[in-house]
Amino acid sequence: MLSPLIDQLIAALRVLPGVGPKSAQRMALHLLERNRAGGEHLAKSLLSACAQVKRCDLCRTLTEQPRCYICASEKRDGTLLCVVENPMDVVAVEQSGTFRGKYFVLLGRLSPMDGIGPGELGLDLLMERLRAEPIGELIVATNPTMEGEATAFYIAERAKQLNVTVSRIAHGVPIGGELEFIDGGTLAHALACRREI
Amino acid sequence: MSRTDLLKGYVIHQRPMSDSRKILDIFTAQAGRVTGVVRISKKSPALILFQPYLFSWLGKQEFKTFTGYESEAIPFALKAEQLYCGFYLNELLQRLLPALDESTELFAAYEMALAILANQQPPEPHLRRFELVLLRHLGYEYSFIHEGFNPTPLQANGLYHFNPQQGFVPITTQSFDSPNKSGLEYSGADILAYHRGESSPAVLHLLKRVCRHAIAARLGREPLRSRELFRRD
Ligand SMILES: [Zn+2]
Repeated sequence: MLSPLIDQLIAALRVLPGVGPKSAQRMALHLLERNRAGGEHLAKSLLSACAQVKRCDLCRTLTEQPRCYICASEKRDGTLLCVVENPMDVVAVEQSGTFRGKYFVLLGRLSPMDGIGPGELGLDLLMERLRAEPIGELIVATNPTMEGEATAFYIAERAKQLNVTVSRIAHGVPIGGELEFIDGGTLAHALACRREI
Repeated sequence: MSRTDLLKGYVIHQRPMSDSRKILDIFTAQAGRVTGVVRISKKSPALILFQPYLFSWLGKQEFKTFTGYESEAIPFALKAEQLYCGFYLNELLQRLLPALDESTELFAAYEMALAILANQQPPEPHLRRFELVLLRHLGYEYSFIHEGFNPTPLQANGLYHFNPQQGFVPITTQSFDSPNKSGLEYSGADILAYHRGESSPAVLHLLKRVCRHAIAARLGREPLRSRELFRRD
């Protein structure tokens, strides 16, 4: 509508999640009118990130190093490994500030109908690590969906054969939540997993 | 299906369409497999497999718009290998069930199988029952007392091939035109035992082979991915 280059930019911005045509237009015009330097910096950052960021050899999270900073860190507890579905989940667990171990990122969860089986989740690599490293406990933090549960079970079965203790993160009533607003499935699970106080 | 009805159904598959929409395949009694789009937001509750929902919907074409959903009951709490069985049932429905085709009996068999799985009872007889109801729904009903396409009773001392088009055919007669590709033989005694309602290990084994053969014939070349999960390595 404005010019081919501007239209191209607007269309390109729409790859971002949650960005519709209106916001894409606003972003494009903002960069061109008010912040060209910022726009150029954005373009360069995108280019170099896309060219260089790959997956960590050990945990499969995103990094431009052969090993991410968590895997490379000497301060992290190498006997504790937390399995998550996505790099975003690593960020979430890190932000909780309570976990001092290392990670393994599946990049998905078992979902046969989508063609995601054990091979696609890098489980061979995970089992190799369990054999090679002094990992004492595996914490499976896949999402509490049926697919996440199946993934957790599949991993647990195989890790136990290697004499690794496997635990599953608890799920149930959120802190600050009110029982009357919680769905029946979550509440049933919370009741089944109750503990003595 | 009239537009005002709420559809009771289970999600059998969901895939993202954009960040605010998902494509759902649901399994219902009234209309079999129904495919459509649903709008989602961060706030909308996640759709869980093996949980019954009531869906409101719009659309005259085969592809519907689901305008809302709420849970009808808590999910069948499948655990461990029962989850694999549940995925298997869903994959069968996704692959074989035609869209928008009333499926009351099959729906009941699905819910029964889920209930058995959730109760951690031996699932085999109910998985087989589900498979046989599905095959019948697809137009394949096999006799366990007569030869396929033939009123001749099966003989307890006879040996039979299973032909997924016809049913059991005796090995003793000329099988030139229908060579037994599976290489499997079935004893008349086991087949008749199933007909009498027995569920011995031999009968369950027979039924498993028969169902697998019949379903493979319907599936064509693409194998079922959920079977991988049962593999021991
Ligand atoms: Zn790493």
